[in-house]
Amino acid sequence: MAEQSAFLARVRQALHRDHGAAPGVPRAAPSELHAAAAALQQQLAGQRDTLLARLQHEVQAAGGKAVRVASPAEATAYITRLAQDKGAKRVVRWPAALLETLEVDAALAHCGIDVRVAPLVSEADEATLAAQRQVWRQWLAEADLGLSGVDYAIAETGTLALTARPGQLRGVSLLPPVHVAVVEAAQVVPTLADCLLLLRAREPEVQQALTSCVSFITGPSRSGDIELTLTIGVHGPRRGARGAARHAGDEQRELTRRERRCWNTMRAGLAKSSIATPTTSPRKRSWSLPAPWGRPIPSTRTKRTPKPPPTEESSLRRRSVSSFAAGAMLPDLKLSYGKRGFDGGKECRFYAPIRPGDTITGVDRIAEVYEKTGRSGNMIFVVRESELTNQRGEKVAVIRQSLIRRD
Amino acid sequence: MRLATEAFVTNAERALQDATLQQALTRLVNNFVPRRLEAMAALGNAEELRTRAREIKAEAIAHLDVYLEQFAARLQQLGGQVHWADDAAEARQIIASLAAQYGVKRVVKGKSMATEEIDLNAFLEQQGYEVLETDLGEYIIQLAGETPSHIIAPAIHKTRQQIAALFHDKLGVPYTEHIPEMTQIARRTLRQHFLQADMGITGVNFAIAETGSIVLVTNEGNGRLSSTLPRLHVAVMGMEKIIPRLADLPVMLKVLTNSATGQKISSYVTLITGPRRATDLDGPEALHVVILDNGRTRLLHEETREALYCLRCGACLNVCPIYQNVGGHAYGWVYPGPIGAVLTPMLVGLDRAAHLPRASTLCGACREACPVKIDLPRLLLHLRHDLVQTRRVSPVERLLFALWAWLMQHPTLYGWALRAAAWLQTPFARQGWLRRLPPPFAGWTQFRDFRAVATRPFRQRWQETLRHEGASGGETRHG
Repeated sequence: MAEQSAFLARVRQALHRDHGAAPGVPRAAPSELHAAAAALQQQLAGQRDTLLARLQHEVQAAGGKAVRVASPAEATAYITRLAQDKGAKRVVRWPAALLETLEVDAALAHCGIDVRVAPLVSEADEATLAAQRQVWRQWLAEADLGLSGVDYAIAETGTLALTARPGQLRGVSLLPPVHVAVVEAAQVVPTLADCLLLLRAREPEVQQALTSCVSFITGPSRSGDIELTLTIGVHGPRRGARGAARHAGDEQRELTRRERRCWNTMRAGLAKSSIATPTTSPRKRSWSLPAPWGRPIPSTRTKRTPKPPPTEESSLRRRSVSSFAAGAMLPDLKLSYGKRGFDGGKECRFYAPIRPGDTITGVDRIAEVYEKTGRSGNMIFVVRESELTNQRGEKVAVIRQSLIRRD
Repeated sequence: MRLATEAFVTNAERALQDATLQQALTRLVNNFVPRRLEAMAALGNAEELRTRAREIKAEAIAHLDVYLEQFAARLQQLGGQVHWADDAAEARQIIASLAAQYGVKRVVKGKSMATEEIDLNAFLEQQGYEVLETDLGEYIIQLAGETPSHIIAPAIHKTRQQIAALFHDKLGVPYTEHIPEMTQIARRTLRQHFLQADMGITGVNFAIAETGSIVLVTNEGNGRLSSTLPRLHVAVMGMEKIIPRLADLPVMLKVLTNSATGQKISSYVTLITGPRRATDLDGPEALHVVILDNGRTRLLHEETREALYCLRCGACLNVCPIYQNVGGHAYGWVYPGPIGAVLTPMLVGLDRAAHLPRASTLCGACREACPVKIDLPRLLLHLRHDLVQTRRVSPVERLLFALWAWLMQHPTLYGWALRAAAWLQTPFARQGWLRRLPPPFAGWTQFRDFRAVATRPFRQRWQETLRHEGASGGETRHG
């Protein structure tokens, strides 16, 4: 529709620049690329073991499964067992040289599993290709397990890099519910940047090196679109399992581990400020500051507060109008007003420094309760004042906190 | 997408009353905010990466014409086609004519904000095509006939019960609230559509000038399926999606995914360089990239240019106290939150979105969260300045601020005025706060209190402090 020249002229005009004032990205010199790639390969040769361990850890953290095997036979045994466990009837695979050496076809066929190997197309007439594409589309859609190699595996993120070359169908790692990739130790690189460098050093022309598609795959397909609850296998493989040749060891990890970690950290932060001495009104509480005092203080929006020790008052806490980050509750004000409560702001005054190892005691009192009427209805403000003193009885801070209750 | 920005105030009030939405927003904040913070801290060099990412975007946008031209040329070398769309209508027309040209019947879509921006679905459906969103969240809201309420979690405002009922009604499946089961229902339904579709439409996360490649980032794989299975792949990109070099991708990707979901990388990052080659057995036979302006050249002015650095990660939404309370729909257009409050007025015109630049406390949390350090508060102030300059604020407000400015420039008068105010407020002030102000200030105290004027002005206290320090040798002690 719009002409390229007109479109770009408008952009140029808006940028207040003259045409051609800056060159585009120059082509990278192949000799430099090769030198950099060779240097990287040499450097990596000494780190294989660390890289493999990291890859395994990260794949599992992303919800995949990573198994290190000592020999091709062990890899074959693992793949066969997995295919049987999953009740796979049809397996599709790349014609990769590494997979040929595993002799996995025979092992699978022995278990009555149908294996289809993608053809290494070099040159063929368009009619033959079209027919093959049609057949493979069907096979990929029906397959229960896809078996591929990788071009590289990225240790930092647990990512597999798969290019689309002859025989390396994209669909093998995409359509079947289970994807197994076999990775050689020498294919593991530390970062995505390293992977891109090695990829482009393969061919003189970068566009050729990138092929029509490079898929970077990290763990199985996942979604949090329903209530932010993590689920796997929306579109792509529900299971991404990979074997890494040459090393032994088998470890499994639960899928949700990584998701849980963040909230465990939050809880740990809260547990550090547990309540020691809940007493009578005006309510007193004290806690010891962990040393070093370096942990992030959890957001006060979180509802996950640790339970205070059972006291008479704590039976009232469910209906109390206010709560504090440490979980200490005020006695019920018998305010049965409104459906929602929210923070009305805080004001902190500091009088003396608080140091690691200090024991801080707080005395709370309700300073004020009053009502306001807004456009949308009535609101009740509860102002609470906490006076904090340290173990020497010095006043360290006073916190005034307003809570608003409204319809 | 229908523009409802003018109704921001009523929309926001309705959102505040919506208990389900409030619950969803709490969940969003408790989930995304700590995840991002944890991930950024784990990076170790987050600051450096953000600075580098900003430099990359700054370079790309400053030479946008050059890089766009290079991108187009490189893509065309491989048989990819590039289309230039000045506005939404043009983009829609381009896509519709492509569909006609390739004899398309069914369309599947990967998640894309650019296609929301041009309101593509409704248009294609009107033309008789079957269009299906394949991102789970987008699919849900498409079934419900709604619009996304968050850039990366479009169905965040819906509960599992609502979605379960929706699936039951629209898909005729047995009612279930079990999330993995619901996901599998969507998978089964969508898989059939993927296999039958003739055209896949996706967005673009990054377009690399050096190689003519486009990059799609998804967790579900909807981008990968939409760009692999149908015979025609159409990618719609805002023209600012360009990055210069392939080597820039690792940095951009890292800041994007860590900011968006706290992941080191998303499950699927797909780097597409042209349509399938002669020897490929799968992949689309044709690739068309639609480059969209739709008001973006207006943002290229130096003052506002950095709004185009945005990666659409959604981090500024999650930390914004306004978004946290009113959610995405209240903003009334595709882009909510602080970045929406900046982009929307600039893309659709300040006249139609005058409320949005004011929907901010200018607290700066968005600037802190932004992976490319966009100074959103500055941009919001810039827009507010425009509002005043173009007389789009009430005359009373203008008068009051003019008076205030005049007063501030006359120190003696200012001192008297403050003293008068301090004296006048005495019957009303309690504990240093004013509960209610008379009109025209009543709006302020409707939902909050106002700090009372200090009985002893700062300037007086400052003078005293200076005198005191002069006497005690000048060392200041705090605490």
